[in-house]
Amino acid sequence: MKCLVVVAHPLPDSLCASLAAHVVADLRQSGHEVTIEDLYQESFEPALTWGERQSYYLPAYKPGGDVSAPMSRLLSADMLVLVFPTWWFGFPAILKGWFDRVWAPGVAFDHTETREAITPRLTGLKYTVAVTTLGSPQWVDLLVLRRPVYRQIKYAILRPCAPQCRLKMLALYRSEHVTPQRVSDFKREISQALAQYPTATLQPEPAAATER
Amino acid sequence: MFNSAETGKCPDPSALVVEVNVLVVLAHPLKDSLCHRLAEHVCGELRGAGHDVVVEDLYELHFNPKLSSSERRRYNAPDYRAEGDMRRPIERLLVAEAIVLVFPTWWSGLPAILKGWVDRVWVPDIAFDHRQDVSVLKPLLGNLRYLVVVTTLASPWWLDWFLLGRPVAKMFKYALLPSCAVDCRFRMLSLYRGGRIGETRFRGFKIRISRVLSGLH
Repeated sequence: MKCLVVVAHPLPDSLCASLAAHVVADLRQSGHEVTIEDLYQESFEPALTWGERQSYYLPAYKPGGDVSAPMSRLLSADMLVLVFPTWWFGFPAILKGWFDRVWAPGVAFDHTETREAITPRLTGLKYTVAVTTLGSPQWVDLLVLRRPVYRQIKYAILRPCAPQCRLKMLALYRSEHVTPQRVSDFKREISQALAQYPTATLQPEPAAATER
Repeated sequence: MFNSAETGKCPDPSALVVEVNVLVVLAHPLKDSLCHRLAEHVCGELRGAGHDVVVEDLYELHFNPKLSSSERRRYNAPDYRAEGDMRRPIERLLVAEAIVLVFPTWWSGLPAILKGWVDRVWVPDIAFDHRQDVSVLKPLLGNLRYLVVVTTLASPWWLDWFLLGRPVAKMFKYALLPSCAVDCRFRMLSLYRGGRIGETRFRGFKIRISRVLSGLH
């Protein structure tokens, strides 16, 4: 499959960077075609611009020139892997900006005439895997916050833009207190998850690739 | 501080206004947007009540929302150092007794520029202290007593409440405030279906905002 791996951490020697490298190596080894979108390395500009917002609801949306390459990479992806740290129970600004600017009208969705709803455009996107690290313990995410990042990806982003896409979320909790053992366990969990996906786009979907 | 010009006389209690330092943070690129109109209303109400208002228009300031590599490298170090461009925004956060955030909710989350304001301004040694244990955050924003969120959403209320579980409200209420400002009251004012708003509904929402802001003291 054509896999787009989006990485959103400023440090090349971070835990996220090492998880991203693991993801990429695993996918390539399984025969997938991998494209890496390292947002910090590309100096991605996350703030939706004046011109973009101004034309957001117009028939001709005018995206900034700097997002046309990220847009075509998103459009050609069968599978999306997001690797990012969860900061304050949300995406880092740079990754939020990737959604704000790249998942744009005419690319990820179309407005309906009434502006009341949107119709999906990313009908080719089959799988999304979110790999994230959080400082917080699991119970806070599950019981207090109720998995806001998972819900945001699943219900706010994928549901309207790519309703057929299946989401798998892999979270490493208490990441500030991580041991080499926990990192290698987590990497094994990632490998197991990624191994479920078919390498060729025409193969039937495996049952195990459903969300958990 | 009391706004009574007269001395020697007992002032009328209704004229006693306790001035609050309010920071209004605005995050919309268009000057003619609903958010700008709401921010204007917020500032008008606050100034009318005698409060001291500072506006931080993130787009106008060309705020850079990306936590830098050196900021991230020192995040868990004993001496966090913010980049130079964060000095003023950090000063404004430290003196604020009330914060009003005015922004559009995009993809059920903060616009990137505002998420970056949280990522880069609510930082170690300023908003919280985690030197003892990086997973235990000790609040440092002792001045901050109110956080009011004013936001517009394209989606209907039931989607935000039932499917998403109000992620923006939860982030402030259960993640940011308990870690940074314990004695801070939180109010969330959401204008749903903001894409199709009539004058009546807009006026109704402004009245709701006025009511909440009149409670600041």
